[in-house]
Amino acid sequence: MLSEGIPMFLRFSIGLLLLIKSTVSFAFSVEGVIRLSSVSNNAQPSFFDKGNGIFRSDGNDLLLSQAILSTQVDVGKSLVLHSVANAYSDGDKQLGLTQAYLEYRPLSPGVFRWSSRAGLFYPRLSVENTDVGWLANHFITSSALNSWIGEELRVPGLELSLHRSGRKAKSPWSFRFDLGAYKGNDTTGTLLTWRGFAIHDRQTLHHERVEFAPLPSVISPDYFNAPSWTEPFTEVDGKVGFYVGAQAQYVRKLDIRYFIYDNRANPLKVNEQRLYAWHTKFHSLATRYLMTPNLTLSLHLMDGATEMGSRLVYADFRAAYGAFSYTQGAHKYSVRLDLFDVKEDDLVPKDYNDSHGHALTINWTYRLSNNWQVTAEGIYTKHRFENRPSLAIADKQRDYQGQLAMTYRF
Amino acid sequence: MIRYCLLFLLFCHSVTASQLSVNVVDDSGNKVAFAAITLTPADENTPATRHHSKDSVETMAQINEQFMPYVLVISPGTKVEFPNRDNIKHHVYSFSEAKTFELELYDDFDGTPVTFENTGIVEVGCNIHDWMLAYIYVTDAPFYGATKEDGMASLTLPDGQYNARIWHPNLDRREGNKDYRVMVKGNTTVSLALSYPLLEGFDFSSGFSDY
Repeated sequence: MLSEGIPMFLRFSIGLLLLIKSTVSFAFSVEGVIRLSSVSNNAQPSFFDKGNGIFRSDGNDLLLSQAILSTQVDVGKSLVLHSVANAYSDGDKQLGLTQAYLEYRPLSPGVFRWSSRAGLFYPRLSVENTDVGWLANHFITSSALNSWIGEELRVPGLELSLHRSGRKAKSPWSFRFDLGAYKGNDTTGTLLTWRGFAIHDRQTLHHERVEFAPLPSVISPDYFNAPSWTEPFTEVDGKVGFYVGAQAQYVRKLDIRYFIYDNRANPLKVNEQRLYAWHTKFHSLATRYLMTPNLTLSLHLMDGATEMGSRLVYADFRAAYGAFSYTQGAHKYSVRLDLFDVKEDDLVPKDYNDSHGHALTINWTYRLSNNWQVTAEGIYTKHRFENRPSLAIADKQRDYQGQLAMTYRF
Repeated sequence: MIRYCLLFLLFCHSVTASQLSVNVVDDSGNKVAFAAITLTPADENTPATRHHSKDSVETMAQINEQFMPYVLVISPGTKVEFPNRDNIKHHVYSFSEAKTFELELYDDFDGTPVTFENTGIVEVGCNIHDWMLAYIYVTDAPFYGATKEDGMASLTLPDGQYNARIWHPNLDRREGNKDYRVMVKGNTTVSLALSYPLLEGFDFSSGFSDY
């Protein structure tokens, strides 16, 4: 699946950026990740290929699973332009942006500091995806709930943050409060109901389409007459959504984040592509705890609901994961348990939206040098999706996936 | 002639630099790292010749999202450079009375050295990595140093009697401006004990990085 154009483009881009960087090193900084993966699984054809599988690929595959250029450019006093460009060998588009925003972070003499972001970015609700370009820190694949965030939840909007510095206040506790307002998240919820949770590491590019299986209830003119794809950052109703978040950190060892997200979409609206607005809201509680200098515990719970039409589709969704990661020299061993559940309670019972499952992920990462690392990751997942019989597939599936990845960082 | 020779020898002896090792401990005998130590001559016979050149350039680097060193002691007029040894941007600043400045530093960029004209304590932070913290202690004292992680500081100074003072970011106020009498005669080792334990400090040095 590797196309020849992408590596050539990447080589050219990286070379050009490094040349500029070496010439004007004060103007901006660049970080990058390139990851090649060999993947093997027994899963159903992937949703990317209009199948019903919950992985990114199926069978045996060689993927350019990540190619990320993360740049920061000073554009004014305390004003920085962040961008994350990604290239993939799969999906609807192979090259694009996943994040692009301006950050204003003025200096403050006191213990409180204001900052703001404007553009396309992630709310800071994940404690898992803290690596360059929103990659998961301890795994190749993200947990189910963060896989969904990477697919459908990115705010084109404005965020205002107030931060209280523990270090300045001579306290072990630091706090942050975020308030975000955005548009362009009206289709968020489509994949949760018409596909279900998935487990992968493929973030949706801006202006990209995400496919899913052509369920008869979705595509039939007698039912929703909708496409079997979604464009996650589409504005349908013109309304502004919001999120509020609170974060507490005890020194740098405990991090707790609570967010409320509500896209305030009008579920009665549909656009000319027949993409519906989905009113999606949820609570998110995440924590990570550095139990010892080598051992990290991460937990994340999400509980919400999404509605389309006048309860034509209404589903409660819940997802959670817990993970341990242990570092020993150049080795890192991580294990994660995922739970995910979507339960419908709506007026169209023949549009089957119920799904639930669990997954166990085991990861070993070996750092060969500051630039190179090799990773082996195994996933076992068992799940039941009620929409499968309508595609003549057994509703219960048991999947195994092995992945061997080589990662280069710069 | 002999008299002149003796005077010359006496002069040579009086400016002979000795090595002073200072061990700083708290009231319970625990080593105190990153303490600034200043020494001022206690009598007229002890030369107060500053051995630090005003033209010297000191360094406070950013390494692994930490300032190195944590405590830097300098004379007024000294320039300090802040090289960024990380591959990410740092935004170094201070709002302290003794010196207000800011430097936006990308990776491998040393920036322009900052001159610290006034005595006092300069608290240095990073606007991007909020946990980063360091202190520049600007002193008029002719001789000074800072203890390392083992609680030891090494100074070069002429033999004589000195009043030593200790400063630490977590020093209990009750310590006041306590003077310690130090006699230096040849290579000397002294132990200076605080009267109170250090105030509780919170270790922001390692852990999660914000994003």
